[in-house]
Amino acid sequence: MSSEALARPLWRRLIGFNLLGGIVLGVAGFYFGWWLGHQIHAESLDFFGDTNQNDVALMLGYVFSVVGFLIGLGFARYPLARMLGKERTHTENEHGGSGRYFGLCTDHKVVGVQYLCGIGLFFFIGGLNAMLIRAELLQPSPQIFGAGNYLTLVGLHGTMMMGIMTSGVLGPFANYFVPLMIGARRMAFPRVEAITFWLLMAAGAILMTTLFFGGFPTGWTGYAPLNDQANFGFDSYIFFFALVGLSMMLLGLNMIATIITMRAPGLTWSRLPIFCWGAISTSILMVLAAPVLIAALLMVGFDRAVQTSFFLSSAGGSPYLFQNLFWFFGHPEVYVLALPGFGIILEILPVFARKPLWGYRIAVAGILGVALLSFFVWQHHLFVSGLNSSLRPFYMFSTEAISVPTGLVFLAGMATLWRAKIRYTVPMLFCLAWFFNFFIGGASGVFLSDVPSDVATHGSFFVMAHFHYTIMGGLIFAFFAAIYYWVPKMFGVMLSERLGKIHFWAMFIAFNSTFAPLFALGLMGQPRRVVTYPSHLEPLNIWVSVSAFVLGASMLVFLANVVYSLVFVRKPAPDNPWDSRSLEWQTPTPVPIENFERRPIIDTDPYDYGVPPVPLVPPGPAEAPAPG
Amino acid sequence: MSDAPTQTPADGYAETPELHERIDRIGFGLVGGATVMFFLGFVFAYFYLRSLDNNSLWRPAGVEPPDGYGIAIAAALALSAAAFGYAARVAKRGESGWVAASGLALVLGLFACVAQCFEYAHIPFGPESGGYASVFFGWTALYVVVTLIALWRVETIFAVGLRHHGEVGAAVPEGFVPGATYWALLAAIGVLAWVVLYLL
Repeated sequence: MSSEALARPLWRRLIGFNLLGGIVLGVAGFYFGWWLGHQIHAESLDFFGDTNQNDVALMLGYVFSVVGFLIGLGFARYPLARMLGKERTHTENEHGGSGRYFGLCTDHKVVGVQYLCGIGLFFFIGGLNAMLIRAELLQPSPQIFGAGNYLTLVGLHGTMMMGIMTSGVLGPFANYFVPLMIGARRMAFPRVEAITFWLLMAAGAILMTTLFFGGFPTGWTGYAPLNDQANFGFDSYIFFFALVGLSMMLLGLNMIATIITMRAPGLTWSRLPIFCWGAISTSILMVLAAPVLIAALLMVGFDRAVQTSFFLSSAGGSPYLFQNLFWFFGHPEVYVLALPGFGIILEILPVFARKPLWGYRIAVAGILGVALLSFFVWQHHLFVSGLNSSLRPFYMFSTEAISVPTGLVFLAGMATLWRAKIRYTVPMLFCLAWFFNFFIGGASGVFLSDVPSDVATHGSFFVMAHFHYTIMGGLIFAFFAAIYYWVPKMFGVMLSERLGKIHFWAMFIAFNSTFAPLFALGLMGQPRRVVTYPSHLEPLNIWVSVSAFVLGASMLVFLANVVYSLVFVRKPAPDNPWDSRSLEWQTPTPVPIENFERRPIIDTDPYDYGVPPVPLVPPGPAEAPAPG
Repeated sequence: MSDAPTQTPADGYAETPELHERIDRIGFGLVGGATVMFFLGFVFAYFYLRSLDNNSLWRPAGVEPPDGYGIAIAAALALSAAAFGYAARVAKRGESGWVAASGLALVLGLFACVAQCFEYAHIPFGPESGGYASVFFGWTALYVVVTLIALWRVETIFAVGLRHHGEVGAAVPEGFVPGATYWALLAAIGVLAWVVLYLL
């Protein structure tokens, strides 16, 4: 935004292509689609009390609301300009003040901050749902919400977390730091980068609207035939996950293209920061798995709106088709959540261990191995669904085999810590906790990959404990490690170490106190997604609920830290507060729009701790010594 | 929208056409991979539901799409891909004729989409007519959507040509060849749809 634009009154600046415009056109688009759907499919035109279960109207409402939202944000201008034959440009709205954060901006750093705030918002909504779930489970019979609303609550929590957090690391941190780490000025497709964020926000808002349309009873997996029988609140699930899938796919595509094409001279594949390997392997999964999810969800949409029968046995379809398609995406998605965590942990460890990353190539092989194997395990989710029993051994073996490359990542991390002079900063504490949590999650996963024990524990709290240990214990701890590690570079201020350590210990203890007992509850027979349970499980459930509330309170400590450090104290962050050798820390803080004054030439490894530093930027004409 | 470049040749950040071509090549390659995976879902659904034939309702009697439409759509897509591929090769050699060829590709692509819509109006069965009908409507409808999105790219190439009056060697759009390769892939998926849905 130019200074002339900044001089305009606020009301004048609010009119234009920005978030406000997006919301206005999004709401208008929704009502247009709603009206159109009723014209097409039904006779009633009752905007506020529709009882016709008119899925066509609701789906068209969502479609037009997303289109309107994107037009209002300004995403239609460039495609239209290209249709008129105008030349390609790569930058839009990169200069200016805080207005950049509320609209289309192609600066990868702005998009990274947008992601961090947007994802943080939905993460807290998802977390609030978890608190409500645990409040309901304080007693063995329904007390607060009733069975139907409880299912919606569980579904909202799971769907929000599994959907939005797929971009939890790549969105904020990879978008912000991958270009810096590889010495680039921009992402390969800057507008695609921007649209991935706004698609995700539209998806989150659409999911929340399910509350106005009766919710959905399927949990986050959306299984058939329940997905066809559900009331039309389920349409919001379809659109949410389809938009998340689209966003993921575009994000992954952009990340791969950026890392392949935009690396600085000298940054060979064997010098690529390990976080970039985590990002690229995650991106491969996103690009290949997300389209299958989108296809499956659109099939559900067709079943509900135009009466196809993809998933109806009685009409020539099969509910198993949905399970296969969903889990072909769903299991790689678990690694979409886990692999960025691997990258973060291995990126941060050497900095605070002050040692080179042990077994760089082994770690890379581990990360890529996990990504590859994740495509061959999905049917372990169908062990008790009527899967042909002759297929079980293969999927049992392939699932267990994943522990091998995962073990390589652990090995690299552990060996890096061996005899290191560890600095126990807040990011490092979260890294160390990650090892503890993910080990428990991984070890319990072996039981679930094994057919006999999976048959006994399937659908129980044991499964829930397992995936919370891998996803929350893995991804979320890595996510917070990344926040404490990179926020000084992103915002130019240091977060309070003291409050950070309180946050860490509260979160770590409460997390384990919440989820470890769930293994026992699962083994004692408490099923997932059921609001009632036997009364003898009440004491343990009360323990879990209280622990969960403490876990929720630990997030408030984090929020307090953010407000205290970023708003009140504002202690300026040095350019490189952790003495890291990675390229992103060699830039000034705050990072200038063009990232680097000159293109860096890389001639060292990023983890050569103990080796004398080599200048990363060759002297330009201004600094060159005078001749003679 | 700012056209101002943020880089200058002096700082080593100059972005060459070769870099843009490489980005486009990789980008279109990845979009191609995602497109294949998307339609693979429908291929899987076709063979999975066909093999199960639940309640003998995979394909009840009378569920036969009109052959003429299928052939016309597949032919239009194949010709469109050929025309666009020819346009890309000609443009790369710096010769004239690519604007007309890309215009032809655009028209043929649009024809395929319109023909698909006409087929829906004349088809003797509905989406509720069993597993095959579900796959038929789902696959072809989404194929039209993806094709229309891809046609945007064809149109932008054509528009650049029109804007510069098709001058030889002038303003050949970036990403022409990768775009043509993707268009060929999409046409191949369309032809595959014809083989699977009409011939098998």
